[in-house]
Amino acid sequence: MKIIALMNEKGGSGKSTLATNLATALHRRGKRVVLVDADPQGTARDWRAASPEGADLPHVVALDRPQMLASISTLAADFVVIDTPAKAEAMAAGVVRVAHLALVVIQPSGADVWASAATVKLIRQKLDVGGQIDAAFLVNRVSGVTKLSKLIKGGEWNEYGIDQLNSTLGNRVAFAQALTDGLSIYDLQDASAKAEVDAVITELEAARWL
Amino acid sequence: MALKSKPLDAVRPDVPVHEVSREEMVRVNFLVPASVRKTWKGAALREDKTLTELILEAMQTRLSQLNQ
Repeated sequence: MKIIALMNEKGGSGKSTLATNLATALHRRGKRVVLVDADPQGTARDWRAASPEGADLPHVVALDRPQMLASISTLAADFVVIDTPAKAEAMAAGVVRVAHLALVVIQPSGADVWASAATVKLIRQKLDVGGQIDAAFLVNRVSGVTKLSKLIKGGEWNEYGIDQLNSTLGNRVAFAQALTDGLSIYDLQDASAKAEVDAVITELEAARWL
Repeated sequence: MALKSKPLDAVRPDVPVHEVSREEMVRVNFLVPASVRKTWKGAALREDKTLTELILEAMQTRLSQLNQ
């Protein structure tokens, strides 16, 4: 079992959108996937509740206490994708403790970059005490034309020694539409958006993180 | 534009980093006569400790003696 966490202290960076689509991408590849909603906001739960009957999507379970994270290992799943709360508190720390891969989701903004430091600090702590975790920044809502997008995508700002995925996700309405409809990007017609999520999966597989 | 990542020592101090390395806790149950528990509990109270703390301390002392 691989436990993948979508993290960043800043709200609105796209953790839930990424979590629902990555979980669905793995599910549609025939993997047994459970999406764990560890965010009290409950976006992943609301997403699943909004899904049409019979939708081919992964199961979503709620997890509201860090003490329950230990029970994740009992789930019958190849992949557990955890959507984490924004604030880097006990739940986020507990998620880093159990996760094999942390994807730190950032938008092209200083606020997202600076807020990510709290998550990086948790990841660094795990590594410093001899723990194992793979980690990478994943840039979301990239626009091809703005200087800021190019700057963040270029990665020069990143002085943490944590990788940054080459794959990025664009600033596309389809992601918000899919979430709102209780569906995934694979259920809509935006081929570019699908290709972006596929590219993330391919890059993670190439790095042997999946 | 000179965007830099925030230094980790500038992160707010209440990020619970100790929780990352905290070992999972498990429960240990065992039966003892009520009188023994009463004696232990009284000893713990006199030292302003919990019964768990007293037993842990006793076990650590015992194990350190074994390792000498």
